[in-house]
Formats: sequence, structure tokens, C-alpha cells
Amino acid sequence: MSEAEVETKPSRRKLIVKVVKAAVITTVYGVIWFVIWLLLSNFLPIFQWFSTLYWILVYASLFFTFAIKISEGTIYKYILVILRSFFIIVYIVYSTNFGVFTINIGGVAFTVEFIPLLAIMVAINLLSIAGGLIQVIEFAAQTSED
Amino acid sequence: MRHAIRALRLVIVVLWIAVLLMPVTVALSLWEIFEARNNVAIGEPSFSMSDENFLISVPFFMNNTGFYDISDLFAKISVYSENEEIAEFLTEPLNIPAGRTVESNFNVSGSLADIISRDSELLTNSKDLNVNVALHFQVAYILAFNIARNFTYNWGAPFSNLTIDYMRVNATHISFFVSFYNNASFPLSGPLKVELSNLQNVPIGSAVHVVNVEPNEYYQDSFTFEADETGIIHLSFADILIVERRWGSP
Repeated sequence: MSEAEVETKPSRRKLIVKVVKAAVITTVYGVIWFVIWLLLSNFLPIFQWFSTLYWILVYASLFFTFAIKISEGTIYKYILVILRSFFIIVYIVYSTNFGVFTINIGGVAFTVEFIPLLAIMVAINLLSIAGGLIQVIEFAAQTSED
Repeated sequence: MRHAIRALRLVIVVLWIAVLLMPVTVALSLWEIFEARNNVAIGEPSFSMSDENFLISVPFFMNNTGFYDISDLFAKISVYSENEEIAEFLTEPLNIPAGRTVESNFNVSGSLADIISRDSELLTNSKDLNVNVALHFQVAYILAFNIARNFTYNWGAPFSNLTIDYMRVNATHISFFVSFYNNASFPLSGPLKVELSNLQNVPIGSAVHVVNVEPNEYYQDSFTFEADETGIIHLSFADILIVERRWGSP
């Protein structure tokens, strides 16, 4: 058995363990999202109108969960955290129609305007991006020291 | 660096909790107000008219038993005739602090002349108008709610079936017979003016009759003038021109 083969075996095993861990966690999150969907669509029939938006959020969330878990210990983890925050900003702004939400029920139009709340949500995600950038810098500084 | 990241994470978590709890507490606050039926009451609207201005007054009562202030509470009424906006009314905004009771009126006033200038057919033709009524309010100065509904209002023309006939009384005088049916929901009281002019639009005579026509009442009267064979008759009510037409041989 060559030296290179001995080195790649544990790293392969590590990768497989990482993938399995990420898959299990993603599956657990998927089940939670599915239970939320079942509860909301049963108790709030109106919620079914937003199924496309809901499933976009679910698939994106599961993708980021899997990708972040698999990239644990690398700089990509923090880049993915930043990308996730960007996605959430775009998603909440688009899905809430810039903070103005209208539903028509029986000829009556109900509109909710929550632009200040949306602004706070965007600010939180910007903070999250800032946090991600700090972590990227810290990670890069640590690896260069090593 | 680690402390800064931890502090940032903590701030993010606290802010997310606050942001997600906000709509829940607003919903609970609204539930507190609306679960008891006697917390909000809207009275019978009253309609009054003076000169060419009208006033619609709707009594309003609210007991804010919620946790948050209700601000910027107003109603907006938009009236459309054949998809064209002919009138828009806004009531004065009300503020109802948490734990307070407010008893007020939603007052809507406007000039009939102004509305009629946008659709002159309203004076003589009954038609269906589209009305959009919207109630707007803010809770906790952050979340704004708007509840709007469209409905059709059957506008009854105040000068429905308007006829102006004329008859020469003698060689120098002509009588004009004016009749109409008040199809509107309000009484017509004020000066009904008939003005005559010649074909060059030079005034040749005018007469004013003060009328008082109740809703669903018929009106008929005559106006006699010293006039030529032909000319133009102008009929107006409280300075609003109803009709202008030529009379006599061409």
C-alpha cells in the first residue's frame, strides 16, 4: 500500500461522515418544514395560495443547510452564510411585495403594510452578512498563522 | 474578534425574536379589541346639504382595549363613473391610544358642483357609480392595515326626465315650461334660474324661482319672458349649469 493511499483513506472517510451528517441534519430540517407546512395548510387554508413561495424557501433553506454542514471547517462555510443572508434579503423583499401584502377574500381587499418591519429584517440580514465577513477574515487570519 | 462575533450573533437573535414576535403581539392586540363586539361601533350615516355642498357624517366609537396605540385611522371613499374617478374623499385621521375610548364622527364633505363638473351627466341621468370604501389604520406605528371594498351605488339624477318646452304667449312674450323628476336621495332646495340669450350669446332676460323638491317628487313650473323668435336658454340650479339649448326656429 503506497503512502498516498494511506493518507487519502481517512480523508475519504471524513468526507463520507460529513456528507452523512449533513444529509441527516438536512432530512431532519426537511421533516420540520414539512410538518410546519401540514399544520399551516390545515389550520390556515389561505396558506395554500403561498405554496410556491413556501417551497422555494424550504428548498433554499435545505440547500444552504446541507452545503454549510458539508463545508464545515472551510472558508466556504462563511461564504455560504453570507450568500444565505443575501438570499433571505431578496426572498423577503420579493415575497412580501416590498412590505405590502394584499389578500382578497369575498370581495374585501385586506392589505397589510409592514415596510418598517421589513427594513428591520433587511438590517438583521445585513448584520448577518457583516458577521459572516468578520468570520471569513478571522478564518483567513488563522489559516495563514497555521 | 470572537467576542464581537458572539455579540453580533446575540444581537441578531434578539432582533429576529423581536421582529417575529411583533406581528403576533399586534394580532393579539387586535383580537383583544375585536373579540368584544361592543368595542367598535359604526352608527347610521346622516346626509345633509347646504347650497351646493354636501356633508355625510358617520358616527364612530372605539374602545382600544389592545396593547398598542391605533393611529392614522381614516376612511377613504373614491367614486368612479365609467372607470373614471370623479370624486375622492378622506376623513380626518383619528388617533386612539391604548386603553382609551374615542367617540367621533367620520365626516365627508364635498362640493356637488365639483363632482358634476367632472361628469355633467350626473345631473340628468341616473346611473350606477362604482364606489371604493377603504378603512386605514396603523397599529404600534409599524404595521398599517387597509380594508377596502368595492360596491355599486345607484345614483339617482336630481333632474331626471328634464324637459323644457316653450310656447309663444303673444307677439312679444314666450313661456318656457320646465319639468323634472327628483330621482336623487336628497331634497333639492335652492334657486332654479332660467337665463335667455340671443344667438350672439347676449343676455336678454333671466328669472329665478326658489324650488324645494323632495326626493321622488315631480316639479313643473313656467317662466315667461319678453323675447325674440329664437335664442339660447340656460337652465341652472345654485350656479350649477344643468342644460343649455337653443329654442325657436333655426
